[in-house]
Amino acid sequence: MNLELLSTDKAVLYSFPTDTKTDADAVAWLVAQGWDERGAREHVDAAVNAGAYRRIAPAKRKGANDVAN
Amino acid sequence: MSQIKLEKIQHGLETAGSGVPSDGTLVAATFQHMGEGSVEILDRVVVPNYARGVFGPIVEDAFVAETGTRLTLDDAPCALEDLIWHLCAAIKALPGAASAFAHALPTTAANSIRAYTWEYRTAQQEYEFGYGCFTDYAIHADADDEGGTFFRNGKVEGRKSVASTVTASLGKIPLREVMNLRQCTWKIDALGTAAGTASAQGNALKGFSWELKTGWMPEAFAVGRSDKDFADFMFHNFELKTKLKVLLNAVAVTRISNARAATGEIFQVAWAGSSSRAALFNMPVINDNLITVGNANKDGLRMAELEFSVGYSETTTAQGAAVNLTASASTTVT
Repeated sequence: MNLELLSTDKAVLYSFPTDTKTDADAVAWLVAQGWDERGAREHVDAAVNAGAYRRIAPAKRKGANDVAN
Repeated sequence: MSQIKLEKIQHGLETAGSGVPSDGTLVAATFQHMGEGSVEILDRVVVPNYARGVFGPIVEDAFVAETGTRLTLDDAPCALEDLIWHLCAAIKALPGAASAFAHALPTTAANSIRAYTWEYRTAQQEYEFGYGCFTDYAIHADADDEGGTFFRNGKVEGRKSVASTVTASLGKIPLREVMNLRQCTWKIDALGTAAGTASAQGNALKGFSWELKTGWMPEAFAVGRSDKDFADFMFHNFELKTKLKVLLNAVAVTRISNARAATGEIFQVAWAGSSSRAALFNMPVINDNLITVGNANKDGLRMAELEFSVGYSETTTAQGAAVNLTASASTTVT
């Protein structure tokens, strides 16, 4: 899932960079800092629960069969 | 008045009154209290200093303004069965017979509680007082203190103490099993999720305390009390705090981040004993205290001490605080 920044004030409390674009990037960044993966996932969940970010589905890639509006 | 150390403490469950903790009739005790305590006799003597032509108050002018008793129960190892008995007079009247005791703290309306008659013996004289309910109750455990044993303490307030022979030959509450933090698990859920849904944390929780001001206070009214003691217990509002000592790892960092973002969480500390005994402490928590990080340590092992207020979460799957107890067998509180 993609992450959309909602509150910089809250986001800065959750250690990973505020310009992180996806869940996976946030977890990867935390793991690189020495977090275990489960703890990192919970930390990203906590940031979302706190209202620092919200999760949004990635934009659908337009396929050949999609009708352009 | 001065505090008196006690040699024996016993209690018996009083008959419920209509809408009030007790019908006011004293009963014989049924079990001994496991632990020490002391009593303050709250009889208040007023010595007026009238202008009567002499210095100093005239001692014969004194009169008794009110009476009452406060029993302080000292820290003692806490068994699950102690909680089944005590929380009847602190959180909710659940005397059984049952094997599950869901002590939900009140959310929209006050719970009913039940009162005990307490008997106590000093070095020289035996007494009793009725209508005794808990105004304070606290539980704490530390994984490195006494092997993780749970301790409890509390304060009971009641009516006037009168000289009385304590009931003879009583034993302790049956089937007691002392709780231990090393047998516990800690689960953390986001608001909106029922307590205990998440999987248990790994090596994180080192110490746990749960401190309740029950909100039940003795209130005096004009109801013909010849002893000039209180009329009834009335519910004001409870105040519950929990303190967790947590290893300073990723789990603690997330808690600190949430605390600083004013984000509440749902905690559950769950104890599992033998023969299906269990105690679940469900707590919607918010950290409204300054955070101290790294001041607690054990031989260099760094920990964070986090102090939370426990309340009610209104998010869908709304929930309040509760202590859910499961006994090893069908139990009746007497």
